[in-house]
Amino acid sequence: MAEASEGSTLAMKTVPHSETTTPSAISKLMSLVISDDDLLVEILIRLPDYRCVVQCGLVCKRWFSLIFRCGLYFSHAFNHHHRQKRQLSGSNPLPYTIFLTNPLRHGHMFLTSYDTTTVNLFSKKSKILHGEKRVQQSDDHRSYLEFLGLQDPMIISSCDDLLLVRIGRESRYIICNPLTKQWFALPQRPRSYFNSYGLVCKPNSTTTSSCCKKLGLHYCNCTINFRVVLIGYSKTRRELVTTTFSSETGQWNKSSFFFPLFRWFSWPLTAYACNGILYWPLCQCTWQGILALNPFKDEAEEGRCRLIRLPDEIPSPEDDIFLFARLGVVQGRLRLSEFEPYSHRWSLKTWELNDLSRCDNDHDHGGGDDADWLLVHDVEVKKADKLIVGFFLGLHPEDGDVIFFICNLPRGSRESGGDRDTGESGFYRYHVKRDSFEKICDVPYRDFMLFKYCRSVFTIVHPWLPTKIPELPCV
Amino acid sequence: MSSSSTTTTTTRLLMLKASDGVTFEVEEAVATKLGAINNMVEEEGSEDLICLPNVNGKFLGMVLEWCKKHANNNTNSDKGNDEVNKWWDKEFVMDLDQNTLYHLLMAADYLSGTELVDLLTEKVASMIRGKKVEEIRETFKIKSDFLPGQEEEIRKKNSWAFE
Repeated sequence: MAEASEGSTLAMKTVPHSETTTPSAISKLMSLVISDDDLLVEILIRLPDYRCVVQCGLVCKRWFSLIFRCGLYFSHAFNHHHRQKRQLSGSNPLPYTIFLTNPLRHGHMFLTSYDTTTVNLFSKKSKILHGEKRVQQSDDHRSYLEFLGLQDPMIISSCDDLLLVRIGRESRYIICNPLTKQWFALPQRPRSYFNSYGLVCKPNSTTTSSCCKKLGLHYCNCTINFRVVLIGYSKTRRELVTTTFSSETGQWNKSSFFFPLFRWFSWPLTAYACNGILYWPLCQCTWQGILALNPFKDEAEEGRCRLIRLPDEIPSPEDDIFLFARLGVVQGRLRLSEFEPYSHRWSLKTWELNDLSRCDNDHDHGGGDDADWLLVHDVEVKKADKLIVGFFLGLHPEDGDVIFFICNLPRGSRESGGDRDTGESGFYRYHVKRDSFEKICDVPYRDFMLFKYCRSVFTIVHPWLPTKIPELPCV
Repeated sequence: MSSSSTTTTTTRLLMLKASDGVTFEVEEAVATKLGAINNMVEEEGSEDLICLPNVNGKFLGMVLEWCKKHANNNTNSDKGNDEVNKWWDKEFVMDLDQNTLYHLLMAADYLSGTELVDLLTEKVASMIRGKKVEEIRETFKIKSDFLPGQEEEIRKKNSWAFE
């Protein structure tokens, strides 16, 4: 047969084919690649971060419309590529930023951010994402939040890459994405006494579904809903009072419920948001447990609110447990770390809460306190020196084997003179597996003494695609 | 009539003919790293000679070189080999000039060599990364076609990314 001798021919696709290699031809050739929309998308989703992507939007109209105009296609593809890369390689960590507030003053409701010492810690990738100039200009929370143009912003809660900010002494609340500087003011909240706050967001499942599913994305933050929850305690009625703001209704919704506590807290509690649930460690001298609230559930729904018992191995020391135990969200899972610095060696334990069955499955009964804690670390921290003094700051949001400490290392021998040796204090990264401390930055001794009581540690993790705060419905 | 079809267990050899007439004799396992070839081979009664009128011999050779490296690795895949491959890939794209990069990318796309497209698009992305808008335009010889003021408006709207 005639065709046999000729073999098969791969069907032609109209591809420009040229062998000319003059300089101007070369660049033309490259621009041809770039003019293939599918290939250009493949190239642009491989950029390391969204800052880079936005900059590419300025190259020309075609690039711009590919990135910003084609619905959410590009966003999804970008998200999907980086998530997959992370799953396959086990690395590709997200940038994160940590906000620390001098606690003694933060707790006092009449003091403003002007009176407090605050520190921002940007991870290496976060510095790149923010740009060097912005990082340099952001010494404290106030300068970092300068784009709000409002006096006395005070960070009171965080979720993913969003912050809940209280303005001055007024009860005005702002929700913002500090990276992209997008923000909204929430309407006036109901009058009542609230002392604890929580912000939590969740992907908007109704709008994300079709495009995400096409790409096999199970989770995408391209559109979100959020809740802001304020909690107070009514002494007369011995009840918890909450008010919840919903991004869908644009309104506050007040409710109260009885919660089995022997003693309510007077100190503001920092919320940890994870998988659509807010967790507040309940402690006042002793740690009574963790309050878990799912504000996306209706008040009447079961499992909206419950108390989680701590792992049995956690002792209840007389001292302020907050110096020695911390909650944290690590790669989307709630963790609890506890360390005992009493003996010659510190012991460090970390548990992970197995709470995933509760967040989405409505069939779950909820209401119980039978959460499972999985012990993930049980190690001895080798002390660099007997005199080292260290306190918990928080957990690394991306690396489960890293814990942040604030430490004071003796500078020299204390026996020699009468002068008090203030040592060398700083923020440290502790690597559990390597059993080593790594200094992040110095902290003045005066601040060391304050920050050791630091309860207000807010962490934001910047997803590949910065979260866009949904427009609030006009009410 | 093909004489080699009697030996079914040993690897089948394919002849790939490039646009300039250059032919390559490659093992089926190597050539099927390319999705387009794989589809053709899977068709019943397919020929051993495949013409590729869109790919020049020089670049087809390079594509096949890449396939060979990665086909070998599939058979005895262990972590060490994976590392070697990554290193090899790095070397492969390291000094590609724009002309070669372009032809390889077009060839890989045309032949549906998904993994090779991954590698090459990653390379192009690395040429964009860390560059200012003007430098990107310069690299790819792209002219800005924004109307006056438009560019400034986009910059303002996304000021965070330009600080």
